[in-house]
Amino acid sequence: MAGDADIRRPDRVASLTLLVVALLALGWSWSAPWWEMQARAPQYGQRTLIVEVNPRGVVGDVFEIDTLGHYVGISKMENFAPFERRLAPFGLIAAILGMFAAPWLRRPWQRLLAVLPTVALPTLFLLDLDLTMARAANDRDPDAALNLVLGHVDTRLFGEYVLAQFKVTARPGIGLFLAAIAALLGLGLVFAVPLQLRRRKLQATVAGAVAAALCLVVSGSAQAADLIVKEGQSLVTAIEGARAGDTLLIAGVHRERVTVNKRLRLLGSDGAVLDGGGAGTVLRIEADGVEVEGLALRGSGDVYTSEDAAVRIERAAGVQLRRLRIEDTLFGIFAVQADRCLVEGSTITGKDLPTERRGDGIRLWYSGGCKLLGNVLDRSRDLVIWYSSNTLVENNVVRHSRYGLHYMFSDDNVFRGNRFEDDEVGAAIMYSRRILLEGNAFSFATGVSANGVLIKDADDVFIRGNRFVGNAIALFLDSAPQSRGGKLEVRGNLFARNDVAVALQPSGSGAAFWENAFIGNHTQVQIQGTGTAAHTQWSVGGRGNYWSDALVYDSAGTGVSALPYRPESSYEVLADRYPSLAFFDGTPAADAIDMASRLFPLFPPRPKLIDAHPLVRPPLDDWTLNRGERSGHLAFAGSSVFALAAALLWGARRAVS
Amino acid sequence: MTSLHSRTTVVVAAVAVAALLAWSRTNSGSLIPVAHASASNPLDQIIQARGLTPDEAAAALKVFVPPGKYDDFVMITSGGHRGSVMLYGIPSMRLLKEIPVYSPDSWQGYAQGGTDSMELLKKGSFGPGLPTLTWGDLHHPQLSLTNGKYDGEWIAVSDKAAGRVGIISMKDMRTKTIYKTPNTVSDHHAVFTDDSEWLVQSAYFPMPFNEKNGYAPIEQFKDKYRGSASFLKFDKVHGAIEVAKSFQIELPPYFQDLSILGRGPSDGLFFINSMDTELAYGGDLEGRPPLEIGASMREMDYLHVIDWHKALELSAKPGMTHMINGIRVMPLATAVAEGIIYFVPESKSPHGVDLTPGGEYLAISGKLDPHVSVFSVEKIKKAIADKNFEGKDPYGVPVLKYDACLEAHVAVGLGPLHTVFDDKGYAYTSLFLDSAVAKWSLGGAYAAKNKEKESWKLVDKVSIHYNVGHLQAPGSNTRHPYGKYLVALNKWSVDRFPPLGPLHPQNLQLIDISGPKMVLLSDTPTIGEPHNAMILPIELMQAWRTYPETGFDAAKMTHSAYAVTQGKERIERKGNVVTVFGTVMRSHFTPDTVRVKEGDKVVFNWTNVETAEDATHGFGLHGYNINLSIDPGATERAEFVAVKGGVYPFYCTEFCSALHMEMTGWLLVEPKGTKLAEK
Repeated sequence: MAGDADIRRPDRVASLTLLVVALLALGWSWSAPWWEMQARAPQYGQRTLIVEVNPRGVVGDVFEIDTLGHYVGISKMENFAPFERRLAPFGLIAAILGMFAAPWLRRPWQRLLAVLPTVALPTLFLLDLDLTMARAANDRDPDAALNLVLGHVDTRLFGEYVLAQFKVTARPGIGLFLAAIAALLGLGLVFAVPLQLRRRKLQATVAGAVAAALCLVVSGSAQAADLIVKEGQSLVTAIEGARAGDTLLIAGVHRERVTVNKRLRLLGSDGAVLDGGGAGTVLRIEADGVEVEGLALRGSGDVYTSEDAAVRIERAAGVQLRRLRIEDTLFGIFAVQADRCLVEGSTITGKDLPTERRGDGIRLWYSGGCKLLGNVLDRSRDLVIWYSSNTLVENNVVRHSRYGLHYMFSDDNVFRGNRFEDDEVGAAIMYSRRILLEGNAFSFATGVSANGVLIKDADDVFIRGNRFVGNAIALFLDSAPQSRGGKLEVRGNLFARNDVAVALQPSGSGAAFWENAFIGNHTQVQIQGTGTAAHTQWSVGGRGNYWSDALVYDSAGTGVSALPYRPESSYEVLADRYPSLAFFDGTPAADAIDMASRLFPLFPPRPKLIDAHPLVRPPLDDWTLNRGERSGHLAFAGSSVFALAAALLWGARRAVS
Repeated sequence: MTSLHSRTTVVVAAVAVAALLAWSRTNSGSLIPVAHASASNPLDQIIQARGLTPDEAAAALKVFVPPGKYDDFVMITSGGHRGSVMLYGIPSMRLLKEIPVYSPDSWQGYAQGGTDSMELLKKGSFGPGLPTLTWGDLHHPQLSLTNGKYDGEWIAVSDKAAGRVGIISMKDMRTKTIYKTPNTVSDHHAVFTDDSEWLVQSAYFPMPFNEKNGYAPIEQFKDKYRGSASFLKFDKVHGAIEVAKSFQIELPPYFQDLSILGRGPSDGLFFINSMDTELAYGGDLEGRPPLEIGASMREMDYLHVIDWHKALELSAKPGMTHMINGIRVMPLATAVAEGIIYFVPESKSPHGVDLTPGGEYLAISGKLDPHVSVFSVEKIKKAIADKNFEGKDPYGVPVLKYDACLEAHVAVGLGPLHTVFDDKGYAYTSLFLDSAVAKWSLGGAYAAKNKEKESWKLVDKVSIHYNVGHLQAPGSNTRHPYGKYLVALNKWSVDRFPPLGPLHPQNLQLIDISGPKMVLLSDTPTIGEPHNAMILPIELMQAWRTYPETGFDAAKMTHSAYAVTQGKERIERKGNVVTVFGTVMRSHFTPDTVRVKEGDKVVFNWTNVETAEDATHGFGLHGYNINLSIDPGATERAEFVAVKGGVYPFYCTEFCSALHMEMTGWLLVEPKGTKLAEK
């Protein structure tokens, strides 16, 4: 067969099916992770750091890994393989074109050549990844603070290994499987009988293939537009001329301030920008059901009295904002009586001003039933939710801001999987009921008030599976819960390396803490003022918390210590009153004060809390597991679709023959 | 000094022991054998027996005032809707006295049948058709000033419930005036000028006072409702308001709240906070957001800057003001046209606007912004001169550029409300949400005083229990703050006191601010709701110990026309009016028997002829709801109609002597138709 044109009868259905499935797999792989690395270390508690790599770059906990990497001298991930990343899209295009050509090429070597890019993509990706990792892990900055701690590091493409204190698990992602499937199907085409080139069929096939390819490349973003507004054309005029229900496709840069007062859909093509020119509000939405997607908004004014914003929604319900890129505006999204609004997948970066002179990234005011999903707020002032109940806030990142969340008089809200980092206050939740905080991360709140989370005058608050790291005060409860029968449950959270893990005003009527891990906090629990937090429960159902400073004894092997945890120390009594004494933490001076008090009981120590059932080991965190499961679900869903496609294909094949 | 020494001793001893132990442990590994330490020193025994920590023991020493000695300061605090003022000693936090203003007080015989005090309340009410007010919401006491310093003469108090000002004389600690300001129904805060020539207040609730009958539907809020600032001429001799010389400036309906008068570089300016530039007016059952939601929509409200010296000058000219309900009012349009009023954007819904002692900077905190905004008066004046405006409000008032007026943002913590100042170049801000007080360094000329490396910077914070509202330090609102102590006036006490039923007292917390760190000293439950207070040094408390002459009319502060001396007592009858000119002394009423007929008008004039300190007598009359407190030297009066016949004893209600129980008398009211023969 080698060298000669094939003389067997071509099977068009099989070949084209192979082609289409391979193209689909290739297309899908482009948006899926190809490789995933999970790193786990005791000081990060139950939180697993996850990064996902695909040929275009790295996503996930890049910020944390880069921060950690910085100490040992590993350069930032965004510097890895810049050339390869830029090349990757061309590789994809080559692969797609080659696949199109392959079924019609007469000679096997031609077909092999045509599918080569498809085969090469996953192979080169893995080789390059292996090399890059090995180089990055060992070619470290010699001057980094902790460089010497790490010796030579053996990185592995797959499997488990240890990197400093981190246990690392590396495994292929669904994208890699998809790319491999495309490659295998491509190889299948090499061995298939070439198709006859018949003019009409060719035209039809090419037309179909081009359409399919377009669909893949544009990945569903190309929508039918009623109006196209190009650069140089006025968007304001276009909106005047549009009818309710129209879609406007916007291209290019528009230096205009726009008001949408009818139900329109504004769709930005790549690089579409709305620029307010540094004055006023860029986009005002005053009609129900307006949708804005894929648009960059920038250049609002900086005047507080007119509340200059990128987007202002006023008295309009069901507005949907997706994939917006907001930059250099005083306020990001200012929603006033905007019920059921959606803000999704948008990035909001504030003006280059001191924090207190910026505006809020997002402000929801008197707007019920809104959803904030997967947004990134960076260097804005606050994320404000006031008088807005039934809000879902999920998978957002708020960093380098003032109040990560400034929240009051809003009930029945859910905060899940958000990250609040390097804010002055992570979240201040006040005067509200029925709040769920689950799987969020509150890290490095170190401003003046510096609470990771402040809960004040609130009831029925459930704080589960969150991570509090490096805050001045991780969780501050002031009159919470406050009502008869009100609940405040703190369960399964990690409190690590905070100055104070939990601060309580003695006024609360009974919060319950159990199955939390308190690891290496300067002060685990602080009672503000001179009262006692007698109403607070430190164990539920015979299970307390894990305290890194507890002396534990577990003869029965139940995981629960027989010795109660009862921190009482004069030093801590003093340190509660004089926070500056925290400087002496762990020093002989602190020990001396403690010892003096024991020997010389003039100033008796006061027990702050009693956990009757401290845990021997830190309890596992559901949240991290859930996150793992979620990517598992994706893989499962992906393989199901393929199985279905394969079954259909097989059935069709049988029907034809 | 004693307390300081003891504390130093305790601290030095503790440090020495600690150091010794630390040294012995690190060096020899063996510990100095310390026998079971039971304190040998009697002081230590007390500390041990009471289970105190070192700083609690120190605090106890700091607040203790030995029997017979006086406190260093007196705090005059509002009683809120109790309608009275309370005097506390500092540092002991002992309640010294309560002074009734808007509500009756039977102990002091205030509005409890006494002619003068009943008349005060009646004159201070809304007028015909509406009842006499027997309560008020007393918010902010202010002390009269001479050269910008407390002079110990007068206390002025606001009334948030009725737009009144009450004036108390510090000579006898009694209310002399209740003035109902026209065109306003609420006065949150009234301030004295530096020489107490004027008392200036701002309206809280906007009112449609320009309209006929004072009515307009609430939907016309923006067009018909108006706020106001009232400049009331204060008669320093009589403690009265001279309405003919007073005037008002009409303002937009923004809910003008707390205010402050300028001094030094800000002399002649009046600053007012506002909270509803949204023009929200509630209507939660009518499809509008509730007021508190509506009024917190905008990012900014407006600090009103009023050039009131200019307004005063112009108000004398014809056409500049017109009479509304008995007072001259300058229309808003005139104020705008004449360049009298400007706005500065301020963080929404602020509480306090507080002026540094020298009058250079204003500290304002929007309670939802974790910063104090410090505005420079100089910059505000320059922005006005340069016409550096960022726009106009809907009423045409120019809005100055925010950044052009701002001096600094001070990050203090969550929920900042009010700021006070000490004598060392520091400011203290109450943090409602943090339940804390923040101490921060002032800049400008004050940087040389506090010698902090950084100006406008938080330096300390102390935890408060709970929900601190106002806070106060001695002399804070004057040119001469005294420092030393700070009192946090906390809205909630929650668990600080034993169970006392569902209504909790509020909590005053005394804080020592003499050192670099603030130290909480004590908790004190209060009477009524304390909104704000003024603290003055004890030396300025120069009240009379008795009235200066016998037969003194406390209402008019002069000799009473109804006084009698001993031996001149008599009962006069003119028609159906029976007037008693009597005296009281230990331990009898003269006369002790008074006969009248059913339907007669009866007037009692009692003069306490005692000159001994504290020899007060009461006049408690059965059945007619009357009790007078007749203080040494005073002449007190009560008038009533003897509507029903019968025998009505009266007696001295204030324990006066060993024969106090015997100090009694009879009011015999002959029922109609009684025959003289039965006498």
